[in-house]
Amino acid sequence: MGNITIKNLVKCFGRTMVLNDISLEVNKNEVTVLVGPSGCGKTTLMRCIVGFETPESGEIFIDGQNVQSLKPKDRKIAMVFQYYSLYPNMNVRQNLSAGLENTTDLSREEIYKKIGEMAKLLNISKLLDRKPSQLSGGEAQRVAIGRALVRNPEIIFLDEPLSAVDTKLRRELRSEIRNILKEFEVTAIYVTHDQEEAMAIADNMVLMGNGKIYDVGSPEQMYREPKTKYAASLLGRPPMNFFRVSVQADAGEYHLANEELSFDVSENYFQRYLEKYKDKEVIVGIRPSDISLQGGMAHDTKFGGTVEDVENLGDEIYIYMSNQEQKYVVKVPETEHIEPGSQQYFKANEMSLHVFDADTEKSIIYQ
Amino acid sequence: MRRANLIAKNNLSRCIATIVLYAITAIIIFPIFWMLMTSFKPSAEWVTYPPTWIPQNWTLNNYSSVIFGGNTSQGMFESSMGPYLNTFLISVIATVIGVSIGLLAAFGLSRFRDNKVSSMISFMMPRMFPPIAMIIPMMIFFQFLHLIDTYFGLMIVYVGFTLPYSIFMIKGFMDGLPIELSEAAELDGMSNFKMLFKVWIPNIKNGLMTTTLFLFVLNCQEYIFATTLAGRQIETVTISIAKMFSNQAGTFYGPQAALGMMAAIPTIIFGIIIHKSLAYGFTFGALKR
Amino acid sequence: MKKKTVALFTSEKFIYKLPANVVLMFLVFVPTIIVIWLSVINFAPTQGVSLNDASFIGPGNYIDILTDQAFLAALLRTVIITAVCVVVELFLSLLISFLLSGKIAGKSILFPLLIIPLMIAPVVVGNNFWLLFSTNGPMNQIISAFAQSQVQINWFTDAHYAMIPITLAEIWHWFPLTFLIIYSGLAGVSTSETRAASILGANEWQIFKDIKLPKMKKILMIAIVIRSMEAIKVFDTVHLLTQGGPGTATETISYFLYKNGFWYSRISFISAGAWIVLLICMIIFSTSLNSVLFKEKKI
Repeated sequence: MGNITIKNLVKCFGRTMVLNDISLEVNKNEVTVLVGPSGCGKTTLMRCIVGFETPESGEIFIDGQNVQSLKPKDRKIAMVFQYYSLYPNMNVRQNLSAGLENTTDLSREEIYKKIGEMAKLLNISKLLDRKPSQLSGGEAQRVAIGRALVRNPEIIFLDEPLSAVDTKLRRELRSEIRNILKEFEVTAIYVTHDQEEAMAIADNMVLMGNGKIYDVGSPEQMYREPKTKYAASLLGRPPMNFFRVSVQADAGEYHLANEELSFDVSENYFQRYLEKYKDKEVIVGIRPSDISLQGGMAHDTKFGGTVEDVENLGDEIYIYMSNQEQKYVVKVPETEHIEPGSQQYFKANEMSLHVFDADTEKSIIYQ
Repeated sequence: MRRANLIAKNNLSRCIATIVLYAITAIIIFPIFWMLMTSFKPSAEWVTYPPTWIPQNWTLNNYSSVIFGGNTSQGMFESSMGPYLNTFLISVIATVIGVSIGLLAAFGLSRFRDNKVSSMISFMMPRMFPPIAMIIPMMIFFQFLHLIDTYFGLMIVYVGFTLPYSIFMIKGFMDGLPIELSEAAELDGMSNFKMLFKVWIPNIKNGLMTTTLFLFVLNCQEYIFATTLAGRQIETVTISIAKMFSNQAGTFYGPQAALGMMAAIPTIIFGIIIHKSLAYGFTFGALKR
Repeated sequence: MKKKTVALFTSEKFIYKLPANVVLMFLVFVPTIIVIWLSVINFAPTQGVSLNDASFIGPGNYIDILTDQAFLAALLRTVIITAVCVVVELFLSLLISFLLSGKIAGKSILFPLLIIPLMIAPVVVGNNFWLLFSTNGPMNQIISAFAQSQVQINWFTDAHYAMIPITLAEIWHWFPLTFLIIYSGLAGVSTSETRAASILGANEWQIFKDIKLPKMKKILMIAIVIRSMEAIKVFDTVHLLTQGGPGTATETISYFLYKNGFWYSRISFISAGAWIVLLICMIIFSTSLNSVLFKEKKI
């Protein structure tokens, strides 16, 4: 249980439309991540489903029932807040028991038993008598998750739970969170602005921007086959490079070219997509990792320029290229030696090219 | 070299700051010092010329007259312990009631996010009216209700006139609580009422202390309503102090000073105990987290 | 329509505000009605118009009082005292708060000492300042020492000087409140900006001036509003020290109302006066609070 259906949700704050006709299906027992930059509406969407915000129009169904008349506490949900929001005046045990005490008729002993079990699972048994101010970030977060899960909700909401945690701990904690969520077989809605985190945790990703949903899909799907330029630019670090080119057909061969570079397209099925855009402008996207170095200048790819800067990150190197009109980044293994100011030439497999319509910014390949 | 200069400059400015601060404090304390000295002066030294800064003949007579009643060279008067206890009793009860009622109203404003200026003004009104103008209507009203010279009557007045401060100070503290805390409580199934007692109040304890102190101070010092709406059967310390004069001998400064000091002691002690929370308690909600 | 009203009165918010509203109804609403009623009749017991004889005269009292020179003069005096008190106290509070923000030895002793004046009842303050400023008192003594010659100011009987001890008494008594407001406010505006600035080498004064002060607008406004509200009502000290004199040199609004009400029994007259004072207060305070508070917008 825990299917969510959202139909045509609209939410405004004053004159700003924060949610613009949002429709979405969330499958039960999956971790669905709402990801996007600050202000895109992801937190507002979550709060509408929880019930802390009332939408202007639209419907929200949980397990087929329209929940908009229900108060948040009646929706069988629980939430992990961004800054944990534990009750400072109570110890961990009381924090965990607050929900059960107020919503169920269980006796003291039964409640404590449940808390004991939960504490063991989350490895916080020895913290039960401490107050929130005596907990570390990671510990507090586990208590927050425990407080949410101990009530056996159908859906659990997590609002940027890792934003208050330092980077090193983040990677550790996010796999822990994913494991806990999967083990409890609960539907989870997770909000974050960090795309790497989103990809690591999600079963299903919902890409949002400017109050709209740009894309929905599994992380791999969205990474490999982004349907919009927005999705393509959001996922992956460093972000995808984009070039404005025109489609030139020339005796059975297609070239995607502008003044400074050119890509050849020889594959038939790829060319089919480009047919409609002959002599028109499109946007080509290539991920930094899909570009590789080339020894000398080869005749089939005109793709290179002057190196502006080199960043050596230990296991990989980022090359920042800068030509007259465009800048782009190339990722190469650490074994290469690149000097700033040198001329470098690259090649890219045409299958790794993403092409977007110049006006709609939608992918012309993946629909 | 530069660092040494910086440290020296720092030390110098800190020195100057300390001296200035102590000087200002000394000036502020001076009247209290004078009052304290006066409370130990015999009547001969109350208004001498030149004035004596330290009593030449220390005496505890002023204090004993105030505590036990007695005979000063200027005349007889009764012990002021009755009024002292009256003031204490009335102030404590009025303060407790004032904080409680204010707490509920503040919760009504804060939980439901009422920040309209009109709400503020309506609760502030008792404090904006010159008490003098209220006297006659209140006297008429209280005569009608037979509340003149009663504990209940005076307490109601005290509660009413400190309510504005109570509500706004407490609301300020409540507004400082993060909204997420209430949201978490809401999801945990707590009703607003439960939330108030289980989450809100425990987390504004310091603020409640500060508000209690402030209300207590205001109540102890109240004079106008005490004289006009009570004063015959029920006498408060402020009335006693004002009464300490006779037509022949003039004002009894010594006993007045003694009683004044005694009246201030409880509040001073209370203030010292909670002085740390006073430092954060008076923003009236102007600064949100 | 009826449903809506019922809903309004049983809404949770209303219930929480109920006890306070009851007390205020009792204490404010009813006397206010009485004051309004009194202000539109011509009740003046010792001038031959008893309550039974009094008749409705509409705005008569209001016109009388607004054209009364003594009233306007008292109003002016009150405004001056209020302004002086507020300005001096704000300055002192800011100065002391700034000085206290550094590392000072004995801070925890100084702080309570600075608060004490608020704990002394105004009647006591009045008597105390009477002694201090009496003709043979320590104030004159100190001034003489500074001026190197015998100075004997009759503070309370000389119209030029009478306002000074009263104003000083008020400032002395209420300064701790202003100070606490400012100090709490300053403690609250310390942010990462403050820390960053101090790491970058700004000294305390620069931090105070450029970072903290600008954020204090709301606090300063609240301090001004609260302090003014109290200052306008100044009565206890005037009554004890000068009874409004010499002549009318220290007659503040409260004292003017007191004299006319209790000595001359012009009850209706002062009721109108009280209302005018209240209206002025409400207008000033709501506009100033509005201007400061309405900068906040809900995100």
